[in-house]
Amino acid sequence: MTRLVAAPYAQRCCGVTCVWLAACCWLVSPVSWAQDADSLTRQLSSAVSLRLVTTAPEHFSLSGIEVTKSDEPLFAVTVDSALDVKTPAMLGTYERRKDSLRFYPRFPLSPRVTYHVRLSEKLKRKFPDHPELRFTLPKPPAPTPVVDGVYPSASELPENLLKFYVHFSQPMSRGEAYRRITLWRDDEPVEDPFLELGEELWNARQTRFTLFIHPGRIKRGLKPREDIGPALSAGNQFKLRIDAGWVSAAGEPLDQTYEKQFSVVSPDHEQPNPERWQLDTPDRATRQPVRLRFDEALDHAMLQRVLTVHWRDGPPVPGHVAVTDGESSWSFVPATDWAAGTYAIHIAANLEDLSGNSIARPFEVKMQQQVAASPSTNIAVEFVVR
Amino acid sequence: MLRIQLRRKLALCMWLTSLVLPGQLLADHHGMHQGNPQLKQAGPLAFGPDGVLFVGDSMGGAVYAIETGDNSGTGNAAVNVDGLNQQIAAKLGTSAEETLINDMAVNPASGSIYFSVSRGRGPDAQAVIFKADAKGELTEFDLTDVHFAKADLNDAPDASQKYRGRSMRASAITDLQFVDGRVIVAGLSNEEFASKLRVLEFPFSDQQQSSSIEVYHGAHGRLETASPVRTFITYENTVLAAYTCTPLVTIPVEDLTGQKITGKTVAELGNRNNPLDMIVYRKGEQDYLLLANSARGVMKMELSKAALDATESINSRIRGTAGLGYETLDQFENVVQLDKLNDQHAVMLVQSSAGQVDLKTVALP
Repeated sequence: MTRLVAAPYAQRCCGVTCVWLAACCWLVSPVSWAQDADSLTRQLSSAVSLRLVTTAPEHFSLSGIEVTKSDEPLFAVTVDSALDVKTPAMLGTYERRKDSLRFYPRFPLSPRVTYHVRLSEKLKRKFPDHPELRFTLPKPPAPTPVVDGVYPSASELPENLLKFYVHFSQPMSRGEAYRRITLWRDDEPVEDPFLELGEELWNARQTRFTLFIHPGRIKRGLKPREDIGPALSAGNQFKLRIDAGWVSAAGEPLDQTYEKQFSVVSPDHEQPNPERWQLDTPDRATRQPVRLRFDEALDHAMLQRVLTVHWRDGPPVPGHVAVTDGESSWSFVPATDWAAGTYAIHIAANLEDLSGNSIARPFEVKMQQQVAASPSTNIAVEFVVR
Repeated sequence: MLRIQLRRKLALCMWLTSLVLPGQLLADHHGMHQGNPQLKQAGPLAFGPDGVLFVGDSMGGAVYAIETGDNSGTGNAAVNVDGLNQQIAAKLGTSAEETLINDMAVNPASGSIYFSVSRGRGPDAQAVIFKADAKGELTEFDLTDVHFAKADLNDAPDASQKYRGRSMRASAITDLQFVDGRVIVAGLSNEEFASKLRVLEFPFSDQQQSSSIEVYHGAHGRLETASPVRTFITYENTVLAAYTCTPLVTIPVEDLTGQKITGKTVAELGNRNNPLDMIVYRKGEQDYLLLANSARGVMKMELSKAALDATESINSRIRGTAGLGYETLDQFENVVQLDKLNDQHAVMLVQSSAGQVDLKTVALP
């Protein structure tokens, strides 16, 4: 068994094709072809066939032909390009067998991509009427993605709002977020309102996208804000629009364009203050929630993560967190009934409000101001279950 | 005597171990081990000594150091590849739309150009590294059985994670550079407005704790804010950094040991703009900074240590431009990545509105 690295001879071949032709070749190909669950076959002659095997390991197999040691592989696989550029052969390895030659692509084949098998000059002479050897794997069915929600969920947001979280029902595709999300003021698009990062800020599953308002348009005294003003201005109506053209990782577009409408109110420069929060405590032998009611909306994502309930100095109590009332209420339901005793809610001091002011420090600190706590400090709110 | 015997036994054990252990356990240059780095994403790139490639992996929360063994060559030839993204996509067996070129870096030891690539745009996208040689020939840099080391960047997992499932918090690495035995990593969280530079000693060690420095920006002398770094480079023991809120600031390298630093604003890069990439080069007796921007083209700025030191921090309200002056170079448009190829040339990735990405070699202006 000999393995060769794919030779790039196909680079010299013409790469001009069209997807339409590829699609039609299934119908008009002059040679016979067959398709079963695992393979797609084209007959070059009664004895010679080319087969795409789609079960692992995926490979192209030219069989019924004597394979000799040759400097030139008998075929190469390229990707059809919609543009007029010559494209090189796919990476992969050849395996020479007694009466067949196999090509194992280096990467899994993609649905919706048309693969073009180009025969060597020797085989072209042998099969002058060779058909267009193109293969397109069908797109497997995938669910239609929807926008599950946008946070902050309130309909009134501060002028110095720092970020939105957009939640999707399916993993979405990276690389087009800033084309698909736009901000509108009274039906006029707001110019360059977002911090655009090539890296894009996703969670690991790519179901939540974090969209920062451009900090240069929030921070007072910086050139972008001085020149063109804040992205959001108090007293106006805005829409955050998520375009239906945005596709999921599986290639399915959103079910519809999503809009979040909101009005903008005065900026918030105050830090969250736990002394102003209200606490509802549960009864023993129940699974009533322990609840914190804030005097303002706080960051939806951080509320899920940075508050934990502990019994004395023990590890976090297992349970479920809910964030409600426009992110101004946090509650925790334990996995088992409350036991009597003293508990504490540990709160990370980097917990932010909608404007990036944290318990530890405001978003914009006056230069001589002493901040109260380190961002890594935890604050404990104790409660007793009776 | 006992110590000598122990040493002999230890040496014997090590020799025997080397015979029986698989290759990936054997230490090699720069404290690296042989094996397959399991990159979840290939993001920002930078080169260190002896052709060591640093790769930022935002999804994996790590920086990898990978020995390329690519230590010869000059990089004197101009390298141009039209439709680079289509060429790479074709080799990957997919479409250009499903191929993202995340970063580009020139290996100064060979002049070869490296690209970090995502094959696919979903969470399961594969991380791939490509290399273009002096003729523009593209080859995959195979990550199988390479010598590599990994430095984890993630904070300790939340104590509650075990009960609440996987956290949705992640950090994006926005840039990284190798400077005097240290790898400096800039990043941004997808939750809190964190603004941290992490400093990793290289060679990496398993027990390494990266130091993490909060980065701030003082605006018009009254207010100070956390300021994530978008892109940066080092020059004369100074970090030149473009903040996400667009000022260009300086931070002395010697200050990268504390817990908090405030960059000195030496230039404002303008509104409706997003700094993307920068290089420093020398022409004649003068040093220059070349900076690619999303909306304001490529800027060229004269640099000198004395001028940077002498420039007063911009701390008053800005009208027009202030601080160090710059010239916008009209001949370069739609540049999304930059690196220095050699003393006379730079390479650029130029992206058209139709999405085609070309690799171009240009004379340093």
